[in-house]
Amino acid sequence: MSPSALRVDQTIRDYFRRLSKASSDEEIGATLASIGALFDLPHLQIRHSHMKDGKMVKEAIFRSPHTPKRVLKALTRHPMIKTACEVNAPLSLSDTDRLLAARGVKRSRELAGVVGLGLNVKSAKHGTLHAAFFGRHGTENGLARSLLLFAACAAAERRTNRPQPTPSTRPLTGREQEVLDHALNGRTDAEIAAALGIATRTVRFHLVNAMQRAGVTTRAQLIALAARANGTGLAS
Amino acid sequence: MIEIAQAFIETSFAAISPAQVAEAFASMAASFGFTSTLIVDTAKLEAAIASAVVFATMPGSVERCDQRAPFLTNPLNRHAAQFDTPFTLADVSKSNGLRESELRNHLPDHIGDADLVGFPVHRDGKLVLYVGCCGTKPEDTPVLRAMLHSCAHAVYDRSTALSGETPLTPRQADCLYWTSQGKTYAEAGCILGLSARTVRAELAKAKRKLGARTKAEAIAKAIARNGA
Repeated sequence: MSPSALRVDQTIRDYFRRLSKASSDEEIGATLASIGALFDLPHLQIRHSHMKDGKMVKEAIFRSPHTPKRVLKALTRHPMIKTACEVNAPLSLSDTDRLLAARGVKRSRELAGVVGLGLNVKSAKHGTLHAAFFGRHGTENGLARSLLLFAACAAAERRTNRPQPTPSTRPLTGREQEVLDHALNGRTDAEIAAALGIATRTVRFHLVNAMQRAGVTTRAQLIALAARANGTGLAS
Repeated sequence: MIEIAQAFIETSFAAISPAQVAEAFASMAASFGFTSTLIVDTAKLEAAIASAVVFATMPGSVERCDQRAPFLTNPLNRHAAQFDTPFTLADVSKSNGLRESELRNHLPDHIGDADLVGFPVHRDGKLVLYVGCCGTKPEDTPVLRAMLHSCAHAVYDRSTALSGETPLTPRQADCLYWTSQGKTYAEAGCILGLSARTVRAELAKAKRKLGARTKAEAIAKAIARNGA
């Protein structure tokens, strides 16, 4: 897939939505793998190392189902993984080729023609998450590096912090809401007053109260806020 | 950190104007200690069209972004056009051999000796948007850079999509946005470099296009169109 056909804003949004629903390592891994596939890097292995009872524990938490085992083994032993641990930045196989060439080492036979990115997400609290994306004809440009590292970081955070329900805002009174609904439909104060059988000044009174509750100072701000809340379904 | 990025993405999808997307990006960067942000549409810059600067948190940096001077004479811009990964002054210095102190001469004065991270957005091998963030000792990790870089790409995509989705011109959308932020005609005009009467006229056009009778209805309709 060429990066020009990729809409990054939608990709990130879809990713967050899928991630917020994902509950198991398997689902989180599959979601991450589908972003890798956008850059033709369909294979993914995620490992996690962290301290437990004073000992370093390493566990494999995800592996794409069709990942070739031989390549995976060679990749795990590949200096890319070790170097990526040290630099804490996205590192591609071609980067490590350069490092290896300086030491006079060639790629192993299993890794011939493989393109890949190694990523690390370190945190003091949760240890390190290692992700290796690879494929045969993949892209490893700047966008792929940033987006995949970003996604890996989101996966690591979501894995440890399950999303908390957001506290609901203080609701409006029934009358305030009614007046606001009319105002949202573009009615003037006089029209709202006629529809509800109240005085124009009362309509203004309700709107001003609603503004104070929302913490805004103009009617335009209030309408913008209410319209947005309606659109996202957070409040009614 | 991820919650902040998620909030940015949702805000950018509810945005009604490119300026609003850019502002959301800048406020996200600010929460990590990048106190000033400059976003430049490089396609406009090369065609020497005014208003290439999409967004700038510091007044004064806009004037400094000289549109008459060829874009690529600035070594920082040349680096951004060449490499599509986030960069600091040290990276630029490595790529072209100039010292960091020399490179600072090409930066707006208000940046002083603050740290700078540039996020070039490339499409089809071409630089399309340049985002620069500055701050004194900002939080700066590879993961955060990757996040801001991804979001800079999202700013580009969202702005492009916005100009296709709404029937409004970017200027009309920007006028409507600042009004929805509680600004008066005069204040919105000041931000956008227009007179108060022009803002009013742009809003009138926006109202007509959206089929709205009042300003409030126009804002509600513009948001309903993009936010859903």
